[in-house]
Amino acid sequence: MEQHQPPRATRGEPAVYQIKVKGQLSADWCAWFDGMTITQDATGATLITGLVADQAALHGLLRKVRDLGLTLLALSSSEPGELDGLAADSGDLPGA
Amino acid sequence: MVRPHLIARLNAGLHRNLTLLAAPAGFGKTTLLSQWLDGCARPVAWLTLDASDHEPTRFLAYLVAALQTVVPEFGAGLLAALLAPQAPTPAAAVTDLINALATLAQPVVLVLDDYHLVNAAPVDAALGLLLAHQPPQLHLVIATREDPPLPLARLRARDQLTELRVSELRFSHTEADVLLSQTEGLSLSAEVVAVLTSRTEGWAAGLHLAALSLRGHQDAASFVHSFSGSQRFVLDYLLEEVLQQQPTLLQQFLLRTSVLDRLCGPLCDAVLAMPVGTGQATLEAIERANLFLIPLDDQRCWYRYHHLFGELLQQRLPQEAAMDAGAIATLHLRASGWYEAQGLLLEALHHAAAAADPARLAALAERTWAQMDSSFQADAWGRWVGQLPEEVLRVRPVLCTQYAWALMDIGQTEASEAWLRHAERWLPAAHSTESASHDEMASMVVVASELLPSLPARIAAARAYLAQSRGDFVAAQQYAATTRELSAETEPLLHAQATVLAGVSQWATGALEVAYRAFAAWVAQTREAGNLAFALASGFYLAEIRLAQGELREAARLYRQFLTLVPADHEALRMAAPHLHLGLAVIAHEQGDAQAATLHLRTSKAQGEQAALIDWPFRWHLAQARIEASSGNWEAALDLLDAAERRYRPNPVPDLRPVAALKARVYLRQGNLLAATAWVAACGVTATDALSYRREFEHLTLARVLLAKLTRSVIARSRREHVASDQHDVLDLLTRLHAAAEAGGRIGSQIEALLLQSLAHEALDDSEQARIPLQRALVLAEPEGYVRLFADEGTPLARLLERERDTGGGMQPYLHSLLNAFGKQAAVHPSSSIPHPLIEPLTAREREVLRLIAEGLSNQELAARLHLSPQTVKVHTRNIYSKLGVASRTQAVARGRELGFLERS
Repeated sequence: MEQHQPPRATRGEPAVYQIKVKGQLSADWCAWFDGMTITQDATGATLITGLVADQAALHGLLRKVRDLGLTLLALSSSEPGELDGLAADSGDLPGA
Repeated sequence: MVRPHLIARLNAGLHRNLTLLAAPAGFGKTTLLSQWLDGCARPVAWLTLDASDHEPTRFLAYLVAALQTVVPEFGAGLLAALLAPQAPTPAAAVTDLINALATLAQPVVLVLDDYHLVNAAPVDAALGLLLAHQPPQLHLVIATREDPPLPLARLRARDQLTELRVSELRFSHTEADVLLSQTEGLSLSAEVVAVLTSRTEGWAAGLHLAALSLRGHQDAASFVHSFSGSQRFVLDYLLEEVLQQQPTLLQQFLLRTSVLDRLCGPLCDAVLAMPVGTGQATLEAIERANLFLIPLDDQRCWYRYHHLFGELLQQRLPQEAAMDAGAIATLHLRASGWYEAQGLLLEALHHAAAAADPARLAALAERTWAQMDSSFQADAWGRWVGQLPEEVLRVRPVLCTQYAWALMDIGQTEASEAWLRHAERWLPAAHSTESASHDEMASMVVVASELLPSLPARIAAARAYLAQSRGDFVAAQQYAATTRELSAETEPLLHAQATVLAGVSQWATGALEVAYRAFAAWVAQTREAGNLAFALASGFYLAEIRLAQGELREAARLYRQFLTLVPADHEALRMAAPHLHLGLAVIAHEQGDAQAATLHLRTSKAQGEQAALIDWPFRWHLAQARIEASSGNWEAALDLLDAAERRYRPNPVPDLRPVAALKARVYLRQGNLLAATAWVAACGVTATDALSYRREFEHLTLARVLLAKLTRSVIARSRREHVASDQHDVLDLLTRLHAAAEAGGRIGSQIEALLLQSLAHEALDDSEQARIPLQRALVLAEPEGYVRLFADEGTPLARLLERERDTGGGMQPYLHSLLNAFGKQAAVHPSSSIPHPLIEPLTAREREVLRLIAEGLSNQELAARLHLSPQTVKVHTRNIYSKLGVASRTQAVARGRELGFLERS
């Protein structure tokens, strides 16, 4: 995809982030991760996806991942509205 | 279980600077460290950090306190300074810490556990500074979930770092076997152990939870099978297993108390609304069941959950205990109420905030301000209040004013001013320019209503302080006057505080007598009210003002008078004594009484290192610099001035002798005209400036620079017209400085200006003209007994005084005593001013040699008198110097007298 301006994530505006961690987390964890959507992918990993206000909020989320001892596999971001494509493959999105 | 190969690696790293254990939660970092250090021969200081340790001075205070658990006398003065309301800068504190560590007789290990919780660049910077200059006595250990932002690559390259990371901390199959069979008492097949190790990936927390689950299972094989077949997050899966095996009541207890950072029986009783005693019994049961409960003290009073376990419980709380946000908030509110009843206000504020109930947080903050402020916790208080939504804070005038004071204390003057304006809107129109409308008034909230009447006065007092701190003395005086008017009848303490603030601003403008009267009234008032602390702190300033006026004898009398008021048995009030002794030392030095100066300096240092007012370290270094400079030890004086500058804390009392100007004067005496000229440029003073008291010291320093230039160009016989213009500049400036000092009633400054005038005329070969100001200076100086002001000018002035003596004019005794002082160096040295016996005593022969040195014999004469070779005498003198810690014969004699080896002269 051609990028004519930097992705929202780098402009300090809210952006959709997806955090991929090892192991399956149930949807019960949704509240723990500030209302992010929790889904599983085909490999048995968990995708934590949602709108993140800014970089500080993102680091807060990553700290939660760290403090639970979860293994972080991937982190990607995209413009809001591209959420649909996210769950399929998180690795190749713009801004990732 | 013990992990010998890891402990061996840790032991092998003790000679390096840093050991880093970096791994995610639950990998057994803390357990491994405790086991290692239990068997370690070195004393171990342990500091477990939490998120509130993000402030570097607080962090350093905890660090020193931790070191005191193994070396009780370690850094007592430093800890006191760090806990004082205006602590030293982190860099200065770290320097002191390094120096204190370097004096330790034996090495210590310092553990910083959970370092990832700090998460603050200033703390990282302080720690980085410590690592960069780490004395060999210290071995630092950091346990963390993320790599700290320290120069790890450099430490690795220099082989100064031992690292244990996840790959080392993972349990191998063999270790897991030992853990499960020996520690957990399970008998499992090698196959099962292999499956568990692989499924948990050697994660200690996972293995421990798996063992707990297995213990409650009849059918171990089926548990292992379903566990290994599941793809669920290990801990999520296992915690559910473990929880389900507990009785329902215990499950509920675990889940609900997970909102607490720390647990104790009575707190749990309150939070769960249970019968008294239930909490303690349940906690003990949980500890016995090995459910990740860590006792925080030996009495089994306070506990906390293992962080990871606590987090997992909290995550489950809404589902498992069927609690909505409101129900969880209730738990926090109960905790907040319990903590408030115990007087643990910080924790009470924390839980009020966690309950997401801004009204409760605001009300609690308003009630607790005075108590938090008087126990130096205004900063933490301010952080909680800062979290309140603006609309909650805005409608609370008392809280707004308190918050403004808290912001003022940490130097956020603009924000402070803004909140004062918010507070003001609620006041009756007479005290407010922009009052809230009648309708709005209904929304005002006041919890501590007893504070409302004094609010206008408090707001004005805050404004006076803010104005004074930014140097707007006119505004400061106006606001102080308003405060006094408003508080005259009702708030005696506030009224007196305003009076003294007004006094401080008068001081800076040069109205010294007005300032003196303000302080004197305040001292009288506070003494009458029985508040000796305030009286003592201000008594010091009374003497300072007399000193600024040049009245040495009256200043000394005041210092002594207040010294008699210091109660020996009152710890806080004793903090005033080192200040008073320091003042007496400076005066004794000025009057040429080296012995009295030494005595007061020793006392000041001995007491000040225990506990002193906040600016004592700054003033102590200034006094030492002055004495070193009088002895001609320029480099030592400059070092001490730098040290003083690092310890300076801004405050409303004006800084009338800037360190930069003091350094410029040392440069001049050193003959470094270039550095002194650079100061002139940086400072921005010129010979044609309008004069003010605030900059008098800098202008006198400028006059000295100009005089030095003039002298140099006369010697070099450079272009005459150049000299003429310099000559005009310096003489004109000195005339104006003298006139201003005379008008302001400042004797010391007058004498200085007159002496410089005299020297300027002399430099221009006008000896007759030089006598006039010199005679005036002598007349002013004699009654107060000034000595160093003359003697520090060195040879040029000595020649003038000799001529004055030889012409047989008046004041012969004074002239003689002044000229005596020129020959002598001030016999006080910082290095020797600490009263301590010699580490190695002098031998009888060395004492004899020292006695002969004191008689003024040269080495040759000494050798002849004692029938020794000159070489042997040299060896003796060298040993004497080294034992006495001195560098010259003069110093050796002075030190010998202090220690009583020689008769006093």
